[in-house]
Amino acid sequence: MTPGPAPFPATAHDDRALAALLATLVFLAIVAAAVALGAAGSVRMLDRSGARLTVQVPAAAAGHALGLLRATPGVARAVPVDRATLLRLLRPWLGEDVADLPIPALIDVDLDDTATLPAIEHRLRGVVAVIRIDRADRWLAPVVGALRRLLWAAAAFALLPVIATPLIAGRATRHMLARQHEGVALVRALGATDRQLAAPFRRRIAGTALAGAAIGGVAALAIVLVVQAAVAGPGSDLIAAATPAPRDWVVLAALPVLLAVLAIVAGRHTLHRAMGAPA
Amino acid sequence: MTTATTTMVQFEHVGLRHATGADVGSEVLSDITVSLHAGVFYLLTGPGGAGKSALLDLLSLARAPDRGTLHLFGEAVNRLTRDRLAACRRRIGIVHRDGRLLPHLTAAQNVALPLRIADEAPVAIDRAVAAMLDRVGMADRADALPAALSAGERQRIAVARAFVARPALVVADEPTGAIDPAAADRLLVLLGSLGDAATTVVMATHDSRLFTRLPRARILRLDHGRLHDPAAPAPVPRPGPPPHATAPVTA
Repeated sequence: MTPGPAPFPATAHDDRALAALLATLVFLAIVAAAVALGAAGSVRMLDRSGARLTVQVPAAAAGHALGLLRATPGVARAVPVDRATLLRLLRPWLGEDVADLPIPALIDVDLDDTATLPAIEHRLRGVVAVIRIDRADRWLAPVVGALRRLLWAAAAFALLPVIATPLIAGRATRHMLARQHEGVALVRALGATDRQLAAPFRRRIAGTALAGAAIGGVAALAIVLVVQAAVAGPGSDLIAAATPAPRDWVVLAALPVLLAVLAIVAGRHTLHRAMGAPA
Repeated sequence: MTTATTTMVQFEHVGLRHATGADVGSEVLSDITVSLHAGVFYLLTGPGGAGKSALLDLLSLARAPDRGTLHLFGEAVNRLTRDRLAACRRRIGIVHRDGRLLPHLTAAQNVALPLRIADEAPVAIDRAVAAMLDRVGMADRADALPAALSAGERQRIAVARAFVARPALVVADEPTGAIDPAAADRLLVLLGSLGDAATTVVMATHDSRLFTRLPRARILRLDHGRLHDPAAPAPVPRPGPPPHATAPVTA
């Protein structure tokens, strides 16, 4: 069609409503996805911590046990906990003369994927009669479980906008067409092809979807960025793992594009069904 | 040049059913067999509910026959692809009873629509629209929105829009029904004069006064969905432009 004034006037109210809805959906999707990705990062970090042991041995046998552990296949790292630090931590609980108590020596051990705990325990008991092995994954299990539940809940929440976006875009397109019904019928009667009739609606849907996705995307990414900066201070490994990694930012930035594309495709599909225009 | 006996439209035993309303499914047109020829002005008449609008719907390709065959410009409309259907519609000018102008476009922009749809060059569109507005006496109202025009002026803009793309067939559904007699007379003059010698005009009306105003027009009388004596008189050429036809017409 020769360029000129639009035969179907855009109703600003409709366009703003659709853009606002899409912006809200994109915002929710990004925030929920950020929570899901953060929870996944924390779970990964804690899973790595689950391969950590704390070995308690009599102080006199600490050097021997340490040497044995470091020579054991599957042990990635074995580091004695500083005794002075240990006593300082225990003093509020056991009193000032804690140094006189038979406090065991502690050795932090990181295992690699090849280690088997029974083999390590067997080897240690062969040379040190009294030992105690605390596995980090036992006390981390409830935390990891809660984080996994949070991950799935957030992922499901992020999925809802992905499902809702095409439904809303399709409904908005039908509403748009219904408002322009008489104009469409007239322009069709004047000889416009399906493609000519659909073109202005396709442009409007694309423009509105991109605007909504951009607004919601910028707002949500800014908030995630602010939260990440705010929690970066304490220096906690767990909190650091809960904030988006560089590859997570790629996923988050792709979400507005994905939802905009879904809205555009759904709008075109609705147009195709209503007008017979090629999608 | 197309002669007056060239067949523009051919109905063969065409039937059409009501698509909506209380009578949905019952036939509004039955066994219509008639040929419409190039350059002839047809007055389609009959009582209310006789099927005039339904026949115009078929002629303007708003609907396809439920029965029989309709050939338009030599093509069977039932077998047209959607794009071909659109191309055929571009050869048809339509004047609705209420003018049916797009309310947000000016008079000139409304007249330009068929040319824009046909992908004409902007310069050619401007020239053709200006000339057509001049011929219907609306050059000074080119920038007016439909809401600012009188009923008669809106109909003249609708007529200008119907003729601006030089259609082969013009279909008018009681275009004088909502305007005063003087404006109706001027509109009839326009309808009779704007097309070229090969343009076929089919105008539905229940105003018998028009028969005397257009004595050379061919009458098609519909009654209960059937054409009354459709084959009787031989087609005669559309009345030529009256002496004032090319001069601007004022409201």
